[in-house]
Parts: sequence; C-alpha cells; structure tokens
Amino acid sequence: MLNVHQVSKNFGSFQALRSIDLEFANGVYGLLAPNGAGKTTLIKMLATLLFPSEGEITYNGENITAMDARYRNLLGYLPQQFGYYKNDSPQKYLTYIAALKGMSQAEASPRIAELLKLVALEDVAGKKMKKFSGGMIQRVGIAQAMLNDPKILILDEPTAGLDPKERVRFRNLLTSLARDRIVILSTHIVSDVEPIAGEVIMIKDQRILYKDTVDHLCRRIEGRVFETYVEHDEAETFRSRYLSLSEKQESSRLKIRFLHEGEAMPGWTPVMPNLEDLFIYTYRDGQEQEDKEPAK
Amino acid sequence: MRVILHEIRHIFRPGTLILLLAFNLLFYWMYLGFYFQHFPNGRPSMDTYDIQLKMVERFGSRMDAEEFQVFKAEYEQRKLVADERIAGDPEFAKYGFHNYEQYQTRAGENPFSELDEHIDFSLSSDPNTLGSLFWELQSREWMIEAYEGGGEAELIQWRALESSPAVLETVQRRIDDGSMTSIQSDTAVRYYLDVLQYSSLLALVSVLLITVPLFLRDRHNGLIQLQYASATGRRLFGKKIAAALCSAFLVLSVQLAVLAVLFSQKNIDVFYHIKLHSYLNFWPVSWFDLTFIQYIMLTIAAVYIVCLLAVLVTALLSSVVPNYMAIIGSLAMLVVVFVYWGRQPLITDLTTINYDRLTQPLLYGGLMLVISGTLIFRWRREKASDIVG
Ligand SMILES: Nc1ncnc2c1ncn2[C@@H]1O[C@H](COP(=O)(O)OP(=O)(O)OP(=O)(O)O)[C@@H](O)[C@H]1O
Ligand SMILES: [Mg+2]
Repeated sequence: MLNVHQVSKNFGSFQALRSIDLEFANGVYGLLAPNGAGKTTLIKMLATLLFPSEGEITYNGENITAMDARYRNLLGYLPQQFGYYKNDSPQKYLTYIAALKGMSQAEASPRIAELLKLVALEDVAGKKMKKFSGGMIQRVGIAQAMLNDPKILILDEPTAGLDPKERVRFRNLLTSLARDRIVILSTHIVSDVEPIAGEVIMIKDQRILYKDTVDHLCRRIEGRVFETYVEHDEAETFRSRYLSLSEKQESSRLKIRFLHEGEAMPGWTPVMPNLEDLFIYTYRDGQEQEDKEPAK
Repeated sequence: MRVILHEIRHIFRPGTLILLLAFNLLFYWMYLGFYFQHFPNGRPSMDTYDIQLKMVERFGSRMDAEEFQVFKAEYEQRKLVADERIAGDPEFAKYGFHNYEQYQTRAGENPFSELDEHIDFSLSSDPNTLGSLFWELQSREWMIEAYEGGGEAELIQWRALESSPAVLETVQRRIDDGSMTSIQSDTAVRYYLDVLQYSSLLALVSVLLITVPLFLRDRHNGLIQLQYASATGRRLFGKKIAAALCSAFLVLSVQLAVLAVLFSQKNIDVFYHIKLHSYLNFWPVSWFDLTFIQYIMLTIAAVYIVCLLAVLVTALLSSVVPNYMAIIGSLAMLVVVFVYWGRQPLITDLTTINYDRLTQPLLYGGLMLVISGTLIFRWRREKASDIVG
C-alpha cells in the first residue's frame, strides 16, 4: 500500500501541489490532468526524485525516503522524457539499467530477452537506438521500467508516440500486470485510461479534485450531457450558450455533444456521459492551468 | 561494483578512445617524441653520456680521490693521442698548431672554419675522427674541472645564488659525507626532466578528456531521472566518481608503461641507484639526498596524485556546468594554470630547494583538503536535492 499524506510541493515561491492525500493499492490508476497540472511533479515525488516540501509518502507505513534503495527496488519508472545513449542497443541499454537496479547478470539476461519480446523489439535488440522511431524508443522505456518486476510501476505519459495498435497492446499489458501490483500512469489523453483504469485521479488547482472509478466519475454529470443537431450558422450561438464536448459533421448539419446544467429542450437526446465529457467539463476554463505556469 | 564497471565502459566508449589515442599520438609527435628520438641530444651530451656510462662501469656509483686520479690519467692519455694526431697533420701546421693545447686555447677564434671542417665536429662523425676525440676531451675537461673544484666551488655557486643557510647546510652535509662524488649523469637526469615536463601535461589533459562527459553526458541525454529512480539511486554519484578515478588510473598506468619502455633505452638504468645531487649533476637538488630512481618514483607518484585530483575537480564541474563549452573553458584555464604555476611546484621541482621544505606538503595537503571538502559538500547536496532535469 502506497500512501501520500498531506503532501505539498513548492518550487521556490510557486506551489505546484497542495495538501495531496492519496492511497494506492494494486490496480491501475490513471492520473488525468491537462498540461502543467502537476502530474509529473507528483510522479517524481513517488519516484523519490523530488522531495515533498510538506507531508510524507509511505509504503506499507514506512517513509519512502527512509526506505531508500529498498523502496526503489520495488519501483519501475518511466520518466516523461526518458533518456538513453543514442549509440547503445536496447540490449546494452537494458543491461545497464538492470545493473543500476542491482540485478545480477544471471537475473538480467533472461529477463531482458523476455521483455524485448514482450515489447516486440527482439529483432532490433542489437541495433543502435539512434535509428529508432519514437514509438520504438518508448517501448524500450516501458521494458526498462519492468525489468525488476516492480511492485509499483509508475509511467509518465507512456503512450506518447505509440501507434493505435501499440496502444491497445500496451493497455492490455498494463491490465494483466496490475493484478498484483500498483500501476500509476499519467496522461492527458482520456482514452488511454478510460478502458483500463480502476481509478482515475484528477488534479485541479494544485489539489486532487477526484479519485474515483470511471463509472462513478461519469455519474457526476449524468443527466447533463446531450446530443443534438444544429445548422452551421447557428453553431456559434449554440457554443456560446452551452459547453460543447464534441462535434461531428453529419450531412449538412453538425451533431453536437454538449453539457447543460438545466432543463432539457425538445430535440435534445440525453446520453451517457463518458470520461472525456467530464474531463472537458472539469477543465473547461481552458488554459487556466497553463497560464499559471511561471516563466522558465 | 557492476555499476562501476558499466560506468567505466561508458567512459571508454569508442569515440572517447579514438579521441584519446589521437591526442596522445599527436602530443607524442609534437613534443615527446623528439626527446626519445634524440637522446642523448647533440654533442657533447652524447660524448659526456658515453664517458659517464664507462665511469660507472669502472668506478661504481662514486668516484673517490684515487679513482679520480685514474680518470685524470685517462684524460692525459687521450690528450696524448690528440697531440700526436695534430703534430702529424699538415692542416693544423698551416695554422701553427703542433699540439692539442695550442689548438684548444685558440679554438674559440673564428677563422678556422676550414680547419673545423677538416676535424669534422658533426653529430654523426664516427668515434675515430678528430672531431669525436675533441668532443670527448672537452667532456672530460669539464668533469675534471667540476670534480676538482669540489666542495669549495660548489659552495661558492650556492652562495652566489643567495641560498638560505638551510640550503648551504644541506649542500655542506653532502660534501662532507662524500655523497657529491656520485657519478650521476646530468644528461640522463636532464632527459628525465624533459620527458617528465611534457608527459605530466599529456597525462593531465588525457584524464581531463575522459572525465569531462562523466555527468554532463547523462544530464544531456536525460538519463539522471532513470538512474536516480533505480535501486542505486543517488549513490550513483559516488560510483561514477569511483569509475572516473579507476579509468584515469588505468589511462595513467598505460601511459606510464609506454613511456617507461621508451625512456629506458640506452642503459639509462645504470644511473638509477646513484645519488641525484653530485658534482657532475647540478639539478634537481632535493632537501633529501635522493637517488635518481627515488626522485623518479616520487615525481611519478606526484603525477598520479595531481591527475587524480584533477579528475575530481573535473567530475565536480561535470556535475554542475550547463554545457560542454563551460566545462572545456574552465578546464582550459586549469591546464594553463598548471603549465605556468602548477607543474613546477607540484611535480618537476618536488622536494627541491627551490621551495621551502614545508611549502609542497602544505600545497598538496591544501589541495586535497579543498577538493575533498568541496566533493563532500556536493555529495551531501546531491543526496538531498530535487532532480528537476
Ligand atoms: N523545477 C521546477 N521549477 C519550477 N516550476 C516547476 C518545476 N517543475 C514543474 N514546475 C511547475 O509545476 C507545475 C506542474 O508541472 P508538471 O510538470 O508536474 O505538470 P504536468 O501535469 O506533468 O504537465 P505535462 O502534462 O505538460 O507533463 C507547472 O506549472 C510547472 O511549470
Ligand atoms: Mg508531465
């Protein structure tokens, strides 16, 4: 059990996260928030790269900073910007990471072979990574995170650069992995977490806004999401009145999915809200989060 | 341990190895090679060196008063040979020379270029030419003069240099106990000093070269996050520094092995166990009555220490500077400081009377203290600081 107790993180005078409380048991957790909300900050604290300014993080009741190597032994981590030596092959690179993780050669070799197969890179295991596509690199990243069969797998935007086929494979992989471990993945792409996340965590205004199952979350806006058809020239007025969630061209008209808090009008079809709807609704004030970013 | 091995492998990646090799070859070609190819360099060094080798063979490591008489008699014999050859040579007669002494007292005068050609003073002239004989006589002359002058002449020299009482006392002691009668070869020692001067610079730049990317490359490639989130974690900082020290040690040792082979040509080892400071060799003069090999060992140790300290400095820089330009700029400055102010007190003049007895121990102690202090400070901060990259 991984617990975050009253954790805040400041960068100088800028507060990135404020009084965070979280609890993680086995399963997939989707950390869903727009750019700059603090996902990476939270994840880096879970990976012991950043130290909380206030509060503490514990694993089975023990402070993770105090656990030191013992904690990181349980950790698999894919950073948002993950680094590698361009002239190394995946084989060589994974051997290095395995050594960093304290694995013996005997442990590492079969594990590396297994993982290279799992991420479909066994054919290029000996090739230099500088020739790899973004998706291939990302798969190497996923493989290195899983080397030590971690109890806690933390992935910061792991699907970036993966093609749709790979995304599906990856999602399935996570689901099977999550049976006996904590999997935390951050993303701002709703479809990455919606099908697999046991719980979704949403951050807003430096705080945890929601931590709940997808179903429960969607229920928060139940009865407020509708679909209707509007003419093109009416679209602008419509958008200014209601929160448009998605739009689709259908013959000469526009099919709009939108949110409205009051009475339904004739011609509107109530629909089941999905996570995407909630996401757009939650962060409707647009770039607010990003506007708060200090100049770097 | 396995992590350290990995880091050593990263240090010696092919690009760096090629750069290292290219630099070493270029440096050898530009500076060092000259000394190895031209030893002993010119005349009368060549002639002196040959005589000194024979002296050790005949007299052992010291030349006592009796042996000196033998040495002088040898000179007289050789002079007779010269006399005979001059007497029978019409070319000399043209100038009115009938023996060596007549020639010698006027040899410095200019209008003998034709005669000089006839004598053949050239570097390559074979041992039987008059030129070779004259070079030999000249070498013997200065050695006899130096030995005959003895302690008195030696002390006059040191007084003229306004040496401190401690220096005069040290020299006096060596005169009294006969240590100064050692047959040390100034040619061999000068040769070592030249090689040392350049190879210490070669060693320093080589180890800097391999250490520059130590942390910088990982930060550049964004590896720190992964490294520090692994079981090894922030301990990697120490391991990488250990890897850098091991790698530098390896480079230094390979260089030392190659240089030792190149250096130990022409029976130079004959002089290793002979006292450094003698009537025949004026420098270096150590506070301690060292043999040649003791001085060599001492200076080699100094090169190791200086280079390993420089590795620590470079590692520190590599862990903080923003880019390669910044670190290369700072290290270029470090090398300049070393060449102009560091090399002499830290290496080539080690334990010599150029410095007060305590200056160099304090200098080394201070450097070690400051560098290790900074390292510990940096290491503590590394353990407690956020990884933002
Ligand atoms: N080292 C730092 N110094 C100052 N501010 C920082 C630092 N790291 C992050 N921040 C700020 O903290 C906030 C949260 O950043 P964070 O990287 O955690 O967001 P994120 O949710 O991961 O965004 P993204 O989806 O773009 O990765 C941002 O406003 C960011 O500018
Ligand atoms: Mg992020």
